[in-house]
Amino acid sequence: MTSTNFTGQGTSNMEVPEPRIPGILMSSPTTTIRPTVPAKAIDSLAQPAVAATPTPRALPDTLRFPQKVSEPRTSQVQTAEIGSNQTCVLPKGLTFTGEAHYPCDVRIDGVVDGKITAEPDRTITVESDGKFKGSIKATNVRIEGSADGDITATGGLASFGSKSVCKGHITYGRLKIAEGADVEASMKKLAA
Amino acid sequence: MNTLKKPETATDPRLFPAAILQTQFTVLPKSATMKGDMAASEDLSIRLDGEYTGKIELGKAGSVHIANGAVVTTDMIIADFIYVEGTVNGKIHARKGMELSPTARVKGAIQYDIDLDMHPGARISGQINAPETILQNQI
Repeated sequence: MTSTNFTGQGTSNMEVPEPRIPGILMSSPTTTIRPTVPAKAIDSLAQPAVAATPTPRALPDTLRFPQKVSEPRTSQVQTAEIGSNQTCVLPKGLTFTGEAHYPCDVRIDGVVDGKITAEPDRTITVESDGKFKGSIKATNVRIEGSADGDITATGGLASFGSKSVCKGHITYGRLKIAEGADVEASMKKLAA
Repeated sequence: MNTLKKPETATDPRLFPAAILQTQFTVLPKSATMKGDMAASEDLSIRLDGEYTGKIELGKAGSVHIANGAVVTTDMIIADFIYVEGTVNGKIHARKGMELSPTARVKGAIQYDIDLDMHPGARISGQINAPETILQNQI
């Protein structure tokens, strides 16, 4: 009897939820229908709010570093890939102390104190403004400015310009010293 | 997970003066390594693409661009403008503008004296120190 009562209650309970589910389903369409009318109002409210936010977001005006619009703003002008053919520069005015190793040609216009090496078949140049102290090791070394220390041109050309000032020790495969170069160094020729 | 569309590729700088990008010197190309201290008293624009360990002090003006792929470990980088696209461990101090691009990875202390611009996607761990005084009409 109890079981039948339970079933009876169960069925009655089952019957109750069934209308509830459609009721929920009905309520959801009503809610979906309802928003259609308020949605416009919400949109109409939201759109000005969206439109309102960009106006204070006129950041370029507020930035204190105005940039010309005509100028290309891409960083691709100087490509991120430094090709193996390209030269890297230690510019004039820069002082570097320490060690460096390069995969490319190097031009020294600044002041360098330390050790600079390059991959095989690369050239390190100390330009006329450049001052170097320490050790250079590369296949080719060209000095136009001032150099003091170990200069090693492994198998390649060690070249000294007419205004170069050089002290120290030079190791070379081939040597070129221009007229007027001030070279005062011990030298050693590498076996070819 | 961050469901926001993440611009992982490098974007154009917003704060960093675009003109510098064309005039800067690539001091350290890709796959090059440098260990030591760098200093300059002139207005220099420096770009780093490789691996750098040490200090960079640009005393007067100057800018440092740490490009995408560069790894910099430093006690201190100080310049007027600093544009980070790569990885920095250490302290960086921009006297004018500091820009951290979407690919920037910074661990350490950031200090800026006028403006900071951080793009979405930049990953910063550490301290950020704002300017302590209000500087007006200064560029």
